[in-house]
Amino acid sequence: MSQSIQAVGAGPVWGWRLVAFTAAAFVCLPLVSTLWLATSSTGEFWTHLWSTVLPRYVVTTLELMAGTGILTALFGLVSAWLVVCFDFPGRRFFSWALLLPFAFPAYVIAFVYTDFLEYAGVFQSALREIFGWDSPGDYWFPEIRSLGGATAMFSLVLYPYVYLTTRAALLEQSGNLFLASRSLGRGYLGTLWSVLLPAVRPGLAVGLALVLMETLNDFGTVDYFAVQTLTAGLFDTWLNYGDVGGAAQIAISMVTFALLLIYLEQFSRRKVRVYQSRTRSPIQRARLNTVQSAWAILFALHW
Amino acid sequence: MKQFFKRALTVSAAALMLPSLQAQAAETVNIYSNRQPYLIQPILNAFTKETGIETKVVYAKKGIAERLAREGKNSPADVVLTVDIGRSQELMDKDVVQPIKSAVLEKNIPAQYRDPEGRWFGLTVRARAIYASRERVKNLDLNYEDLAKPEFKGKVCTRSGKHPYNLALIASLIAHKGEAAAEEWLRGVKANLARKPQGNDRAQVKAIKEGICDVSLGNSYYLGKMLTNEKQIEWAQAVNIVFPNQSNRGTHVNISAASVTKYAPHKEAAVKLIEFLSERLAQKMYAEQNFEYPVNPAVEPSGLVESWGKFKADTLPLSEVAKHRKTAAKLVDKVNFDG
Repeated sequence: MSQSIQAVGAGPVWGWRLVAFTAAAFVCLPLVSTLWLATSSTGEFWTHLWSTVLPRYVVTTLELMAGTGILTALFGLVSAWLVVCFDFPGRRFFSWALLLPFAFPAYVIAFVYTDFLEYAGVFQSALREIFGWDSPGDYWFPEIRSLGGATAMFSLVLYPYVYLTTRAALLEQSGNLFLASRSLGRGYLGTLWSVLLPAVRPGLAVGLALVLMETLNDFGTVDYFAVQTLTAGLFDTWLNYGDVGGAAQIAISMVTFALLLIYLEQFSRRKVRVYQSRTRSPIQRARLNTVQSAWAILFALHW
Repeated sequence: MKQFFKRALTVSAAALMLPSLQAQAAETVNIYSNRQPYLIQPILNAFTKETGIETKVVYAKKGIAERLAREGKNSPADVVLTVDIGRSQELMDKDVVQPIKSAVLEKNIPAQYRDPEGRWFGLTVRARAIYASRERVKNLDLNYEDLAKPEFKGKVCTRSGKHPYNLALIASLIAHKGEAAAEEWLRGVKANLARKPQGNDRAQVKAIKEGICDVSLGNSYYLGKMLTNEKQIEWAQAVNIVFPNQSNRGTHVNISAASVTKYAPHKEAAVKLIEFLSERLAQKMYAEQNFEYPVNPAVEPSGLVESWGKFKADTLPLSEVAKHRKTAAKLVDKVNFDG
């Protein structure tokens, strides 16, 4: 491909490079201005933040990312596996419907679930009605506005990243690989774990990296759930302490962290060779029996 | 053919110039506002009707001072409408507003509610009240200090300690009783919280209705807003509004305010607008729509607000409160109030 472009001559290449460079410059503009802003603060607020709330913000952020990472990897991988490797009623529908959560920002989903699950919400009101409880002290119910709740919201909204990239990777795999594993005695789950997962790992990792970055940069959802992550520190430094430079420094730290994630993702598969099938023999979808289909549909419906 | 082009050119050039000429003819004042458009638009319409001066509003919940500082001399803004003294202080800290001298404003606004140098003018007053469960709280002679006492253990709800409304309350405590006492109070309140600080002021009243807590902090006008809201009226009916510290320094009050920007291109119109906002008509509209107290002592609050009774307001100048705002924020971090 690159050869054919060069063959056309130097002119067009330079033209394209200029376009690419301009586009890249535009993309970099906010980053550069943030860097510039970051130099405008002496950073004296760091001492205050470090000795008070920042350690908690960092830990909460990491917990949120870990939880969301694990859940989205699981949902994304399993749902991609189901729609690529198996046939069940509604498969075609689910193969695109599973992408729909992309249409909702996490905080909107958060509003909806909170409305439904909080103390005054439909769900708990019904429980109280059924069991005759009448105050919050009468029974235990998980607090939706919590770290766990936020993790669940992010997972529900962000798993399509993993689903999308993993599904694409699975579709690239040779069906022979799948068949060989099956004929050598591996079950479906065994094949997923020891044959397909290593093969689609790069795809999964890309999706996961996107998920983690989205989690890192969210403010609306965590604010609504009273979960304080690094973005809370960023807003606080900016709006309550009036230190925009300091806020920019926090932002830069977060960007650095995101870059580290990308690096780790690439580093982790430096020795992995990925084979893509040249002859198109995609995975033959196995037909699921009724019970299996029901499970598959339930799983897909849940999201 | 040539003639035709010439004529076409002239016509289109004239058409292009027309709107800009019109814009020059009518005076305009540009507003950056923390206040929500639905609230101020009717008042601004009345202003345009009376003076012929057009208004343009940019609404932003946060970050106006920052924006003005970035825009510098190029800023189109003339007037900033803020809520909370903290925001007005921010405007002064960033040096994006200018002092104004106006006999009208000095007459209409008590000294306590305006900057001595004229860099901000309070337009409405709101009290930081305590909402108390009608069912479960019988003694309504409360002080802010009581919220930190053991008798309210597990019974207090509030929004984030970092919210400007709470920061101002804490700052007023610092001004009255010193930093150490304020810190102790914060620790006491945190120990009494029924749940982690979350939601807004109204969400706390809802929590009282649900039995999660017995008392909460909240601005006075929210009671009026809830009482006139079909869904929220039952929350409001579960509580009494208490104006704290009546037997001593008085209830902490805050303001919504207006300032003229440092580089206001239409300074004269800007001052006219703020004067208009301090006069009877606008004050009455504010009072009726948002259930706040008019800053102008000659104007009475809405009937509903008056039915809650008169109260004694803390007379500490708000400029004093504003001074301690950053210290207040640091204390909230220090006692890990929101965590």
